[in-house]
Amino acid sequence: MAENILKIQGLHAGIEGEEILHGLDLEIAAGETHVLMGPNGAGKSTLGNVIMGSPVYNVSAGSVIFDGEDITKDSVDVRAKKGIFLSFQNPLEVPGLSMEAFLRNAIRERTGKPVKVFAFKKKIEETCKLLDMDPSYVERDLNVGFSGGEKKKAEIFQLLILEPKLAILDETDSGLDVDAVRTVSKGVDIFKQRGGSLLIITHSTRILDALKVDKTHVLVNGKIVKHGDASLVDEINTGGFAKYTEG
Amino acid sequence: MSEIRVNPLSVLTWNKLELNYAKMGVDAALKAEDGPRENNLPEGVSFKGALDDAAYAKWLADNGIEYVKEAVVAGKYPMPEEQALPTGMGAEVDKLLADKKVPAILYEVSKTIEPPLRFDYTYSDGDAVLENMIIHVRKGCEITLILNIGGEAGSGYVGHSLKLFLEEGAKLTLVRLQMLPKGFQYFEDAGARLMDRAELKYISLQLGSAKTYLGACFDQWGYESRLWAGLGYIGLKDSFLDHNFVDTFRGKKTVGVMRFNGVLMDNAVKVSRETLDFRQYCTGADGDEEEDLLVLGEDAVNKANPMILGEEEDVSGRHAVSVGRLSQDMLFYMQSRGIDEIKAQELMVRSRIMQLASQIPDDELKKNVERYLDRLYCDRENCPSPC
Amino acid sequence: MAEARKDSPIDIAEDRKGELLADVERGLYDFKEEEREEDFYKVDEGLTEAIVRRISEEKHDPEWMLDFRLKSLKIYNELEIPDWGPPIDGLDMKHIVTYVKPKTGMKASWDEVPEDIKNAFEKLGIPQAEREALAGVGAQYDSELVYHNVRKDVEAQGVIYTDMESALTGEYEEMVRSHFMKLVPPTDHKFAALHGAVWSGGSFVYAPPGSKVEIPLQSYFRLNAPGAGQFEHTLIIIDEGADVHFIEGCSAPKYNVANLHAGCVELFVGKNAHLRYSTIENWSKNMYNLNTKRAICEEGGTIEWISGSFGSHVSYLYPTSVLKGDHSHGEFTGVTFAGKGQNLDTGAKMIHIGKNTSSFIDTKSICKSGGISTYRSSVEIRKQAEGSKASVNCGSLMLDSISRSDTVPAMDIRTDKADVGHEAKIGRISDDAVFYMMSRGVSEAEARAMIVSGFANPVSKELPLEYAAEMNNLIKLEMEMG
Repeated sequence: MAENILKIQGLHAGIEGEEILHGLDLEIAAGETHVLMGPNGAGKSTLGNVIMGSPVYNVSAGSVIFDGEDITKDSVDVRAKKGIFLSFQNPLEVPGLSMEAFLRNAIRERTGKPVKVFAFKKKIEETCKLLDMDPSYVERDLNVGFSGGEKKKAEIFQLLILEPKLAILDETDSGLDVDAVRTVSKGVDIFKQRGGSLLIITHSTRILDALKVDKTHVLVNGKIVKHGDASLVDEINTGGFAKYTEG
Repeated sequence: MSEIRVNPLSVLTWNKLELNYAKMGVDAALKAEDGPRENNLPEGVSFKGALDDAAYAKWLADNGIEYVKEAVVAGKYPMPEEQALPTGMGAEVDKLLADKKVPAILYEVSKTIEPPLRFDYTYSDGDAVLENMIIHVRKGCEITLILNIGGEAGSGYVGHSLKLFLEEGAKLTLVRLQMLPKGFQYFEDAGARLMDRAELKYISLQLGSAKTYLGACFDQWGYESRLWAGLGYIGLKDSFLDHNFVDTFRGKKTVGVMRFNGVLMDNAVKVSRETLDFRQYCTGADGDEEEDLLVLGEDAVNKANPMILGEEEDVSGRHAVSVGRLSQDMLFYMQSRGIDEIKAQELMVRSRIMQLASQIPDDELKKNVERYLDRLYCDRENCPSPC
Repeated sequence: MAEARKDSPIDIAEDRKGELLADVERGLYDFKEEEREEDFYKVDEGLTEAIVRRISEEKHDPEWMLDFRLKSLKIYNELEIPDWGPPIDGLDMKHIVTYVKPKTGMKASWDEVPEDIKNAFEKLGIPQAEREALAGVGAQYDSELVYHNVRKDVEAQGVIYTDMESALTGEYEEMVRSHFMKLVPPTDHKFAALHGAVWSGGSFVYAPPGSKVEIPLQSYFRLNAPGAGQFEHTLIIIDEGADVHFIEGCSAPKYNVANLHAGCVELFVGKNAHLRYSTIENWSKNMYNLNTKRAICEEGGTIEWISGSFGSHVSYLYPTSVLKGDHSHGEFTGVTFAGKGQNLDTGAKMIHIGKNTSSFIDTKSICKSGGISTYRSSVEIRKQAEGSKASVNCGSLMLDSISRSDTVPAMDIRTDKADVGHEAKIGRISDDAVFYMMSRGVSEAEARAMIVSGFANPVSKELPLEYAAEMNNLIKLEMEMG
């Protein structure tokens, strides 16, 4: 494994006619947990989407190196197969397709081999237990009729089943009930223990409380204006972004 | 082949659009389905005979089902075709059955039957068969009936007409699963009358025949009667499908839901008419209709006319249509989990069909549908994961 | 079991007798100016070649226009009346006077307009509106324009706004000739053919490249003569990058004989040009309004239709947008209110031809006191129109259960690279909403009127203030009636 799981260099990206990220650099070492903070409209979600390769955004300059490989031009599914996972704020609903069938297909696509039914079922059961989730959850249609909290839990569940190398959690703790926050924190913790790298995009810090954060970055107007350690989170919690947005 | 006029639109629109009705070819060799009718019927379901025209008329009269001359005709809207029990495909199918001397096989359900009752129809090359059936569910009785229609490779012509009469409080779940070979032409007509608090669940899955005409007319006479109807289909290369679904709300507090899940591939052609018809005095009625069409074929043709007709103020009606490719958002979500575009399409096709197929209370048939879906993509190029 | 159904809410026989029409009150629009025979020139009733020739002669048509009229007449006689819409049996062409000319020339100064005609328009607030909010005004009385005026700053941009007759014989003859009934050919349908044969009056607008008319141009059509037809032609050509808002208003007093309006509107929207075409139609309830409106957009062009249909006995009205150029855009926002004795069949058509074209339809139908309101539309997406998007949204509000409201939206989509969404709803005024408003001290009638106005708000908010006020006034009138 390369020393850095993710290395972003001089990244310029935006939507049609409007640049949002103006030359962004970011490095995440394997196994580390990074937090990206910033005021609304700074480009935090854009960054997550660009790393995942969303076709909504154009990359005009710079590169994204994942696990030693330049993935800037890779399609979304190729990136996913290489080990990137993005949690969605609004995961899409697919009636008629159970979460279990969806995940089975996703694993088959990743490995190119049929999924061993018994092993898969066992993994599902174990993961349900770890997250304290009702197993009937996975038989329901993907995200259909899920509450906001359930959707977030389902995303974390997928994270643990798909076992990527890098998880980008986009404002995962926004507007969640206590129960969902607990599940998400627990899932993230398990993922971390298994050696996964994390980029947590947030402007609030509830799930960070129980988590060992290695590095914190502050994103303002499409540029990272400050790199720091875990203490930066506390600093922003008390002082906000004013210090970084002025001038 | 001669032609008859089927699937008439409840309210005419511009002729240029060619939506006002369909022309359906009729095979001269068509004859009545034969074979035993009384075998393996559970207790409580009885075969009441093969009714000729006169006997059918008597059955209608005995049950108080008579042709209602519709007084409410705004403008030059066509009078509903003269059918005591209106069907979606219209009067000319009834006339075809009469011309071909196809008797109506009458089944009566006089007890609540728990396990689903399944009729299998297996057709062979060269068949040209018409089936005509009446299901009469007596007061308060409940039953699930599955019509499983398939066949061996080859070509042929199959037409099924079905009349449903649900007495007060009766409940019927009806599944029509059609997996005929491509070479067959198929039509499927239905006319249902629902009395007070009757409940009909109607599921039609069209996974075969390259030329298909479907019609269903649900006449909700009864107070608080309920309908849930779902149609699922996959239009493959060179296929044609034309349908007309009408939900007529007459009784107070009637509820009707219709769902259309379709997929069009290659150059498939689909013409659809979906109507919620709120008649005067159906106060408190609630109708909801949705069409979700996934278009995956560059040369596919999709025509639709989803109508809401209203004569009663105190109703709530809604219809929604969504037509298009796999959405960019959905594709991004799928891909972010490592699923490529072709596989994502397959999953979306599967989702549309399984929404209905998962409701078939018969594991063998459910598996048949899943196998069909597996094969569908494996037969195509670029199958990413051979099964 | 088959209970006897109540009779039809609309008894067609009844309105033939005229009884139904007689008791409809339409407030300020219903005054009529007494017309003295000697002040007007009329052709005979009916439609013959001789009459068409007489109209052409009276109007000093160029030769090609006479030929065009005669050709159209021939087509008219060959075409059938539509078999799908509201009945138009009450319309007897043998008794329609196709041409009524006021004995006054067109005036550029309001003071010179004859007193009786001036009175009619003064009551409708036309010159006043001009002073306050319009860049140019044309006023048509029966078959001819009687008044025309354009603001100097608009003229200075090279924008031409004149009556069709002047355009036809002046320096724009070639432009008129190459566009006239090219978008709506006489073969389109029977009443387009009729229009081609007997058209008279209307407006011609040409906006040169890059011109911007920030305040609306307006035409007002008044049909005053009983038993007459109005067949005005509106031809608007918006050149590359230009931007224009055009408003038309229509009204007529009620008579107990049928009147006919078969106008034709042709709009040519150039590359990256923008045209907004707004209509408040309040014909009297003896009017058969069989009007044809069509726009064609070149690359990047936008057509926006704003349409309020309140009047007429029977309407067939479906403004069509032909989105020919890539990235062109069509929008239709409309409200239709069908009251007692009215059968209004309205909607829109969108034809996507260019790539990445988009269209948006948003309509509201209201029916009351036995009125029939039909929303009818078609969205066509041709095979080559890849990347197109279309959205249709229609709502129906029924105010009682003797009225009728139908929604008939057709779609014909021939490419897989398009996204189409459609939503329709039918319903009533919620008792809860009325109760809520009454609990705050509003009377029930007022609450209902407010809710209906709110329902129609998507249209009124797109209109200039004075027109929005007029529309709300019409809704109030309709709510108080019957």
